Amino acid sequence: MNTAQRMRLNRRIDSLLSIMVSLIIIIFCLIPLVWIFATSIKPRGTEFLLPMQFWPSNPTLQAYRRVLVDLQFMRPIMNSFIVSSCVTIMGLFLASLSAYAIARLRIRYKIQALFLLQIGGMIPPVITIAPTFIMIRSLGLLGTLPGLMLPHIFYNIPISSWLLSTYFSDIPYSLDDSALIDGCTHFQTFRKIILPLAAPGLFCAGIFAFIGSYGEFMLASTITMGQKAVQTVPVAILNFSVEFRLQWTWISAGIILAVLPIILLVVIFQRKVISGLTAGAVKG
Amino acid sequence: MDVHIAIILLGIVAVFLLVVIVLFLGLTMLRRSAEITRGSTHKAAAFSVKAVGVLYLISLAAFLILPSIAVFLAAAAVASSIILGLVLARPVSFSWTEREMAIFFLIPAFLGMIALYYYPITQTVIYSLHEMRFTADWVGSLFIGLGNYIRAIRSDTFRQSFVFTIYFTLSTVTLCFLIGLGMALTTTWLKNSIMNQVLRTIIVVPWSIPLIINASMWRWLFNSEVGLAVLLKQWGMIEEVPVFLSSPGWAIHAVIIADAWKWSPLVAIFIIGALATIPQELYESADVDGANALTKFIRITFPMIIPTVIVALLFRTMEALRTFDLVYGMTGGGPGSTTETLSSIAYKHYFSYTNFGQGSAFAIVIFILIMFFSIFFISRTYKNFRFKT
Repeated sequence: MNTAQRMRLNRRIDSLLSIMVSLIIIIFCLIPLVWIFATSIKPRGTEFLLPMQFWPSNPTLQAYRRVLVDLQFMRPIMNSFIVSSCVTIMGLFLASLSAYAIARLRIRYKIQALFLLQIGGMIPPVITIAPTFIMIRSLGLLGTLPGLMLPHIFYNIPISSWLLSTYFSDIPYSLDDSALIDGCTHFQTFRKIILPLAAPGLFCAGIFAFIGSYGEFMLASTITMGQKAVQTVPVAILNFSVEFRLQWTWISAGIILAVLPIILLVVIFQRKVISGLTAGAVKG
Repeated sequence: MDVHIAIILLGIVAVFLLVVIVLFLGLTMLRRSAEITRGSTHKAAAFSVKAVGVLYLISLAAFLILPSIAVFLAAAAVASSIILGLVLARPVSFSWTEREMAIFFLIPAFLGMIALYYYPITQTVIYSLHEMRFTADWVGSLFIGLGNYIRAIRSDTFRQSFVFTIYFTLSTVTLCFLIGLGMALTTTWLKNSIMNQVLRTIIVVPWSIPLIINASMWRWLFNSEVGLAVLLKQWGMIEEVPVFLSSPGWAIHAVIIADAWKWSPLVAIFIIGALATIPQELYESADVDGANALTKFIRITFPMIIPTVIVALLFRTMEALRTFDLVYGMTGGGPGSTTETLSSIAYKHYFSYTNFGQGSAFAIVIFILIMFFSIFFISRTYKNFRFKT
C-alpha cells in the first residue's frame, strides 16, 4: 500500500468513526424523547402489548386529541405561558436595572452587590419554600397565578443579573461618556444606548428566565394546591401520571406537548443558549 | 382572574413602589448628609448620621425576623434620615448623582431578594429551632433549641437520605463529567461543520427538559414490563429485565441515570466552551515535537480545561445536593425510603406531616452542605468579573 492509498483509507476510517460517535451521542440524547413520542402515537392500550414494538405499525394521533380536547391540556400550557412570559418581562426589567447599576455606574462594592444578588440563586428552593408558602397564603394569593408569578419574578433575578452584567460590561464605556457629554441623563443613557446594544444579551437572559419559570416545580405545585384551573405544565404532567396510571399514551402525548415549546425555543436559539450557559464560567 | 385578586395585586404593586421610593429618599438623604459630615468637625451631626445608619441595619434585621415590628423601625429610620438630610444638606438639590441613580436601580431587585431569599432563610433557621407542629407561627411555638436537629440526626430516615444524597451526588457528578467530556471532545473533534452544529443543537435538548417531566419520561423508559430494557431483551441484547423502580438497588441507579442524562449535556457545553479557547499553536508545536494524541490530551487539553471543569462540577454538585423534582416524580422516594433525598424528606415534613420545625432542620442541613460548595464556586467564577470602577 502506498502513502496516498493509506491516507485515503485513514480519512475514510476517520469519517466512519466520526459518524459512529455522532450517532451514539444523538441516540443517547434523543432516545428518551423518541421513545415517548413513539408511545404517544400508539393506539390506546397497545403500549402494553407484548412483544412490544418500538415504532407502532399503525400510528395515530388519538392520544393528542384526547389530551387536548377531553382532558383540557391546553389550560396548563396557557397557564405556563402566561406565568413564564409575565415573569420573563418583569424579571428582565428589574434585573437589567440592577445589572446596569453594577456593571456601568461608578459605585463602590460592585462585586459585593453582585454577590448578594447571586447568592440567592444558590439557595435550594426547599429552604425558602415554607416561609414563601406562608407569605403567599397571608397575601391571599394561594391557588392563583399571580401568587406563582410574584416569587418567580425574583427567582430569575440571580441568573438574569449575572448574564446581563457580563453583557453590559462588554459594551465600550466610552459610549456612556459621550452620551453624558451630549446631555443624556443616566436613565436616558440606559434606555436609549445601553439597552439596544445589549439586546442580544437581554434576549439570552429572557430565554433562561422563560425556561426556568416554565420548568419550576416545587413552588408551582405548592402554590397551586391541586387546583386544576391554575396548574402549570410540570404540575399537570405529574398529576396526569398519578391520575391515569396506566394510560401511558395520554401521559406521553402530554409530555410531548409540554416539552415541545421549550425544545423549539432551545433548538432555534441554540447559539444564544450555549453562549449564555458558558458566560462567566468559561474564560473567553 | 377575578376582581378580588386584581385588587390584591394592585395593592402589592403599590406597596412595592411606595417602599422603593421611600427607601430611595431615605437612603439618598442619609448618603448626602454623610457626605457633608465627613469633612466637618461637628461631632453631633456625624454621630446622628451613624446612628441613623445603624437604625437601618437594625430594621433590616428586624424585618428578617419579625416583619410586623420592622415596619415601625424602618419608618423611623427613613423619617429621621429625611429630617437629617433636610437639616444638614441644605439647599437640597434635585438632580441625581450617579451613585444615587445606582441606589435607585438596585433597590427593587434587592427588595425582592430580601423578601424571597433572605427573609425565608432567616425564618427557616428560626423555624428549625422551634417545636412547630400543625402551626406556621413560630412566635407562639415552643423554643427547643437544637431539638429538631438532634431528633433528625438520631432518625434512620435522616441517615438513609443523607447517605443516598451523598452517593447520588458523587455518582451523578462523576457520570456527568465522563459523559460530558466524551461528548465535548467528540463534538470539537468533528471536522464536518454541519455535523458539528447538529450535535451542538442536539446536546442542549436534554438540558432544556424540566426535571419533573424528565422524571415522568424515565419512569416510562424504566418500566419493567414494556420499558427500554424489554426491547433490548427482545433483540437478544440482555438476558433478564431488572425490576428498575421497585428494587432498591436498581431504583437508586435508575434515578442517577436519569439525572446524568439531563445534566451531562450541560457539562459538555461548558467543556466545549473551554476547548474552543485553547490556542491551536499549542497542538501544532506538540505535533512538531512528535507527541501522540494521548500525550497531547494529558499535557495540553486537560490542563487548559481544568478550571472550567471545576466550575462545571461545582455547579453540578450544588445542583445534585438539592435534588428534589427527579426523585419526587420518578420514585416518590421509594421503594421504601431508599431514594429519599434530604430535600424530599424536608418537603414531606413540611407539607405531608405539617411539621415545619422538623422540615426546616433538614433544610438547614442541605443549606450548610451547599454553602460549603458555593463558596468555592463563587471564589472561582468571580475572578472572571472585571468592572469599571
